[in-house]
Order: sequence, then structure tokens, then C-alpha cells
Amino acid sequence: MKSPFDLQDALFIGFCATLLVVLKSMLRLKLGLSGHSMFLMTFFYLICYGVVNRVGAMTACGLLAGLVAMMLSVGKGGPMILLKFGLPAMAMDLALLFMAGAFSLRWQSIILALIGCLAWSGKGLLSNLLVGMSGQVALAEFGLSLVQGGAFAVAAALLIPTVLRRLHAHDLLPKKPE
Amino acid sequence: MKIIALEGIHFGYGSHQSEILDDLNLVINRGECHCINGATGSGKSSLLHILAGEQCRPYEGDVYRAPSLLVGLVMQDPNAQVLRQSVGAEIAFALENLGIAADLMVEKVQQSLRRVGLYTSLDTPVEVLSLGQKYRLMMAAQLVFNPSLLLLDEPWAQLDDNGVKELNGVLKALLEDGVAIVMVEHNPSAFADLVDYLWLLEGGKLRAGQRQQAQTADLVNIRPSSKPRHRECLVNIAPHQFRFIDQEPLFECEQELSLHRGEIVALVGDNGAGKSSLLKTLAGIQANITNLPITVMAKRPQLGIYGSDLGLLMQRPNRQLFEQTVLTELQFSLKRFKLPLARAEQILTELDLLKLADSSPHKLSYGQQHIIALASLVCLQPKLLLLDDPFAGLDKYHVAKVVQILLQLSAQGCGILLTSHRGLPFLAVDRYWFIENGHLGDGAQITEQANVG
Repeated sequence: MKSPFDLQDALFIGFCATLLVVLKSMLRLKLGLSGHSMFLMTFFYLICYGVVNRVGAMTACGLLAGLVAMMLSVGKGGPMILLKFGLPAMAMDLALLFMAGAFSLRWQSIILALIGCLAWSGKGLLSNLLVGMSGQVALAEFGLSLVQGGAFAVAAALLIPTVLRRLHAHDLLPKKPE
Repeated sequence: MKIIALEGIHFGYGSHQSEILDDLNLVINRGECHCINGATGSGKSSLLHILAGEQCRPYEGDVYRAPSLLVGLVMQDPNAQVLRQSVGAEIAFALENLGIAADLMVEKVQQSLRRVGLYTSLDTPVEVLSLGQKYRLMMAAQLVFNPSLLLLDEPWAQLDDNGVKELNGVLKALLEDGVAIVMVEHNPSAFADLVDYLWLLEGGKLRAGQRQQAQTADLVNIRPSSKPRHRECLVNIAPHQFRFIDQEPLFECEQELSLHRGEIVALVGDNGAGKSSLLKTLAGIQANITNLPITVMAKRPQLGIYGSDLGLLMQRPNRQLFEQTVLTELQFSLKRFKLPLARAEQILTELDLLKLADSSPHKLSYGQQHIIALASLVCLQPKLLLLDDPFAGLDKYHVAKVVQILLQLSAQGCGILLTSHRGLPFLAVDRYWFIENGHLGDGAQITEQANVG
């Protein structure tokens, strides 16, 4: 694992965070499907990790995206939006500490995507309980979010190896993704 | 006085590839002119980037730089280093970074433009300049801050003969002022009077090179007119004025020009004469032009109507490379047009490029990208091939290979129109078309003289 972030890494993390929030605010997809926001979030976090190749890159991207979203009033949740963006990223980084290099890029991306989705659904569960929802209903909501969000997150994770291989072919990644 | 020195430099582009610079040493003193020659893809441009101090890939070895050394670099593809949108702003960029007072800038910028023979307004958008003009612009952008070391990547290939002559004068004055120059050049004889040290980069090391006889660029090589002109006409250009919408004419064509199957025609003109624009018009991809009386394969040129019958090689080869490996790049169009995929490996073998089959085309040198882009068109065996400066960045070995392939295609009935800044003594063509002083015409006189001679 490489040590400190350099300027290129910082710029790329900033780019991913900004693009994530901008795309989210521009598209404003009204698909009526819970969890579709996990697609963009998972995609940008995993690309960020794949390019920067450092633990902490996803957390930095998530917190930065949360701050930008909070300042631009993108999405629902007020200050909680920071948690909405930050929590999945932190969970994914934490998981990475235990599994870096243990799986192929494809499987690593899928597992990280599911862990990120678990954290995202967990945040929803916590919010629901805090506003006084009954435990049974909140748990049912949690399960539904996990399944729906997980599907979108896995779809995004499956794109990662192809995108990283293309970036490597264009000489934008020093190390070949494996 | 030593201004820069490389000691034991090792550099490569990947763990699976051999090093392209292997224990390389070089010392450059004030007022010296070094010229580095070498095969396409041998690492010449990478060496220049290390000298410039902007090689972002890791390398081993020591680099000594004199204190307050100012380095100017003009890359092989000047588009890669254009930062601003107008000519004046581009040249002033370095001055802004050096903290020069704004009121002193205009004079310095104009002086630099004049030095490189680029007589254009400071407000001219960079995008309207041709590749050769952009090369001059980047030279002006480097000369403006009086560098102590000037690095030039293949100036001869990008400049017309006037440009080379003017550059010789500029470089001579710079050397007299104590500026050191390092140039990478496939044709060192064009700068023979200036070069103090001629190097050959081979096997990752610099060896003393041998002086060659000056290339006689004025010579033309015309094929005996044995081809019957009743063959299918591929390109017909009626008299017209070539102009962009709402602009002055770029050139005027006063006679009818045509290209038939199996013919090779060279379109020769100076930087900015309109060669690339004409080629793009023939391919149907030039935007912002008036309605012109031009037909290609009996149709008005339009994007996408010719399929695999027409191939266009752009001047910037990276614009038409997009796949992840060289082999898949060549196979892309073959798959699209349902042609035999085996042609890809066959053409790579013919060009002696099979070793690059699994490499990424985006990481290759300018010359290698050029030849791969050409190979991807040649394997389609089109009826008409439009090639914009196809020999730029190629060494003699690959030039000979490309010539051989073009002659083969021509024998199979492919019509070829290629552009160049100067005559092509190494390629026998049927005719020359010249764009001179705003006029496009057939060099019939030259053809006759060559045939009589």
C-alpha cells in the first residue's frame, strides 16, 4: 500500500466527488425505485479506489461529496446528507483493510459494493428508528433497501474492471488492474 | 559550462517490457547543439521529457541541473502542450508565470512570433492553426522566456521547408547566445550546420552517430505514366474556391483535378496551406465549409456513406486510436465490416510490428501510433486511402515498409492521396498536386520533366 496522497490523487478524488454530486443533482432521476442512488455512489467510490489505489480514498471522496451536497442542498436529509455519502465510503474503506488483495478485482468490487450498501441501508434504519418508526417496519424497510440498493451497487461494481482496464490502456493508471 | 547531465538513467514503460533507456549518460554544456537520432519508439521523446524534468513515470539515475535552469520543450504533437485559446495568450503564459510586467509582454510576444515566422494576430484562436503552425506557435511560446536549454522533438517532420530554414536561423542565433539545444530528429542532415554532437539512441544507450548526406527533399519521384486514365475515377475536384463559411478563401483551384484507381497522388504545400482541410473535406468530415464541387466515388462527400471503401489517416494518429491493444485496434474495423480478422496479424507481420500486438496503442510513440493507425486502415483494403502526412515520426526502416505497403495497395487498385510538406523522393507517385500561394494545381510540369529526365 502506498503512503501519503499526492496532488494528482487529491485532484482525482475531488473530481469524483464533484462529478458524483453534479450528476446526482442534474439527473434527478425519478425512477420510483429505492436504492438507485447507490449506482452512482458505488461507481465513483470504487473508481476512486481503483485509480488512487490507497485506503482512505473512498472515505475522502464520500466526505467531500457529502460536504458539496450539503452546501449545494442536493438530495434530502440536510446535514444528514454528509452521513448518507460518508458512511458507505467509510464502511467500504474499513472492509478494504481486511480484504485488500484477497480477491480478484471483480469480486472485490462486488463485495465492497454490498458492504457500502449495507452501511447505506443501516443509515436509513437508524434514521427511521430516530423518527419513531416501529422496529418491525423499520427492519422491513431496511431489508427492502438492502435488496434494491444492492442490485444497483452490484451493477455499478461490475463496470469497474472494464473502466479501469480502459484507463490503464490510456496510460492513466500506473499499475494494471488485476 | 555544464547545464544539465544525465547519469545512469534507466527508464521503461512497464514491468513486462524491457527498458527503453538503459544506463544512459549525457552531458550538455552551454551553447552546444545535440541531435539524437534513433528508430521509431526507441525512447527519444521519453529522453527529452526526462531532460525537461516533466517525466511523471519513475526512472532510476541521477539528473544534474544547473541552478536557475530554464528549459523550453516543443513536443512532437504540439496540441499536447497547448494551454490557452488564443495565440497571444498562449505565448504570454510563460511570461505570466515568470511575473513579467503586462506592459512588456506584448512586444516580447510579437517578437517571438516574428522569430518563428508566424505572422498572425495575437487574437487568432489556436484551434484554427494547422499542426505545423501550432508547432511554430509552441516554439514561440518557449523562445519568449529565453530558455537556457531548448528541447525540440522532430521539427523537420512538422515544419515545411521555409519553417526549417527559419528555424535554422533562430537556432543559430540561440547557440551564439549560449543557449543549449537538444533535438530529436530522424533527418539530422536538415540541421547539419548546427549540430555539434550527433547521437544514435540504440538499445537504450547513446552512441556517436554518423553524419548522413543531406536528404534531397526537392527531388520528386514520378512513376512512368503507364496507368490507363480510363480507370474508375475516385476523386474529382472541379475548379472552385476553398473557403470556410464567412471567411476569406484558403486557396483557389483553377483546374479540374482527379484521382483514379491505382494512382498515388501527393498533395504538397506549406504549413497552413489547407492540405488537411482538403483531405477532411474529401472524407466528408470537414465542418464549416461552403458547398464545393467535389465528388468522391461519384458521390458528394459525406460522413459514413463510404464504409470500408474509404480510409482517412489523420495527422494526429491518437485521434483515431481507441482500443485497448494494437491487435484489437486493427480488428475493430475488420469486425465492423465483416472482413477476415486474420488480415490484422498479416499486416502487423508485414510491417514488422507483431511485437506490439498486445501493447496499448495509447502508450506508443507518435511514430508508432502513426503506423498503427495506418495499418488499421490498410488492412481494410479500401478503394481510396487519404493519408495526412503518413511519414511523420517514422524512421527510414518504417518509411520503407509503409512505401512497400502503399505500392502493394496501389497495385491492387487502391487510389491513394497523401499530403506532405515537401517532395517524397522515396515514394514513386503518379502526380503531385501543389498548394502554392493560395492556388491548388496539378504539378504537370514537374511530372513531365521527371518523365523526360
